[in-house]
Amino acid sequence: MIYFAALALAVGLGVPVAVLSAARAQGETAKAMLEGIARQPEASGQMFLPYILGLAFIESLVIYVFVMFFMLSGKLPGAAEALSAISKAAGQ
Amino acid sequence: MQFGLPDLGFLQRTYRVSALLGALGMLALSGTAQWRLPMGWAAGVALGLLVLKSKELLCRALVAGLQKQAPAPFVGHLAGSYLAGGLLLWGVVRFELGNLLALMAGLTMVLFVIVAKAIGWHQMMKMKQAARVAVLTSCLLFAHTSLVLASEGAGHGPQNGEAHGTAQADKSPFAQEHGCWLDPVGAAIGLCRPKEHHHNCWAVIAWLVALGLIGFAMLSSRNMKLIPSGAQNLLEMIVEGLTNFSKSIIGESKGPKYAPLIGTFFLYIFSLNVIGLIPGLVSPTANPNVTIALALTAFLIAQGVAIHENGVLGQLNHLANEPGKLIASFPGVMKAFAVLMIPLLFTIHVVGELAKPISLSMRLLGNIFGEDMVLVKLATLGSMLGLPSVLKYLPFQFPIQCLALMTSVIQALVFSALLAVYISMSLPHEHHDEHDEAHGEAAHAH
Repeated sequence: MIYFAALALAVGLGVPVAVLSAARAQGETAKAMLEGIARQPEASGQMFLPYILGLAFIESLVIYVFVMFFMLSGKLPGAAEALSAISKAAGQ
Repeated sequence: MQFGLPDLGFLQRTYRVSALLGALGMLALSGTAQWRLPMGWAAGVALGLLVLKSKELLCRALVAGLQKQAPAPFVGHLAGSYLAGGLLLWGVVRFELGNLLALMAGLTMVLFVIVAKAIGWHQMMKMKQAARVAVLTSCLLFAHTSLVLASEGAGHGPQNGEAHGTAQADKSPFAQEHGCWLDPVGAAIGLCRPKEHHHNCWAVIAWLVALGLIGFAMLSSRNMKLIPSGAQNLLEMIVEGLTNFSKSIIGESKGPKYAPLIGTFFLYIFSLNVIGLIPGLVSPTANPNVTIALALTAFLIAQGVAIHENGVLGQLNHLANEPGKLIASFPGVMKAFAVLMIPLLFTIHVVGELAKPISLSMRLLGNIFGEDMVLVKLATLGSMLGLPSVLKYLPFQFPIQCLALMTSVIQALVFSALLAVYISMSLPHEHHDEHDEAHGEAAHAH
């Protein structure tokens, strides 16, 4: 029971935690990019590729968590199984 | 007097290409979980190479004779190669060490390579860049299909027990439960078994996409004109854009050399990503087998380029973080610590290199798979609104589909840009010059 509860919490909260930090980081990246363009508009072409690469590296961290999410969510029991497990635990 | 002697240089390349194709074929056949197939193939390739060796010895003796020179001693080698070939054939047939069909296939492959090398090589060198993209795509397709089949066979070989394989396929979070239109094609060539929920139509889609790319490149570069029209226009735009892309990362001088490779990766992955947006088809890149095969291919290519550019010792030096410089930068007795750090740095670098294919494949897989899942969920959600038939699934799906088009481009761009970055990291020092130039220009502009 405790195992499944912990698993459900991890599945539910893992992605949001990763997304929080990554959204912050991607926001910083976009901010720096926009500031750079505002300062020097003619360099925007050169900035684009490093920008996209930076975003991709940040995003890939979330993607790892996302892949783990799908792997873990496959291990969660269905609603019927969860209910029967709860009733069994209540009975004991 | 000249006899128009044949140039035997192509034989060396034949050995190399045959060995490479033989290794790839073994890899592909080892996916079938029948050990006699790869063994037979390897025996066939070895036999073909021995036959080629004996013919080469005879040819060289003949050429030397025509040039009125004393031939190099060849009788011993010739007898040896015939003896080895005979022993090999006898052993394979007598002890049933390999499948005879596979042996014939391997032998035929080597003979085919000989013919192709003897006739087609000079034609190939004259090809335009677009045609080279097509050839590279087909090579990539071959390697990639072999790897896909090998990885697939490791899980669900025909002899591994069907029940076991299916149970695994069902348990995997990435198992595609829904088939697609191409399932009958997959079933016809033995790739998927729809009745057992074993859908492999992504492999068929990947083949079709690659074939389509090859066909497009070949057709549109067939009648090249100075003033382009139609498909040639599009192709020139693509090729020029990809060349510029590769130049911007790798550098002006070496960029065009690697442009076909990087462009091939970009076009292939982009097409694989986008094809899943057509209703009824799936993105092959939403399947871990495909992305891992692609990333492994990219990783091996990057390592091969690094070794080609720096040599084996140079690459080892790079992996050890250039110990010479490091030791020199430490003063006096502290140099001992620098020596102690070398194994540590080497380990870190090797682990970092090995992380590259994992991160490449997982990034692509996660993005495309996630995108597909979001599309499916939103289509289901939209169908609850109860719009009339054609519009039924569209309301929430359509905007996300436009977004998915963008992620498809960006993921293909990221994959090929990272491959280009990995390649450019192994090239010596060009980057600094370019930066200095850029700074210089910026300074001039102000």
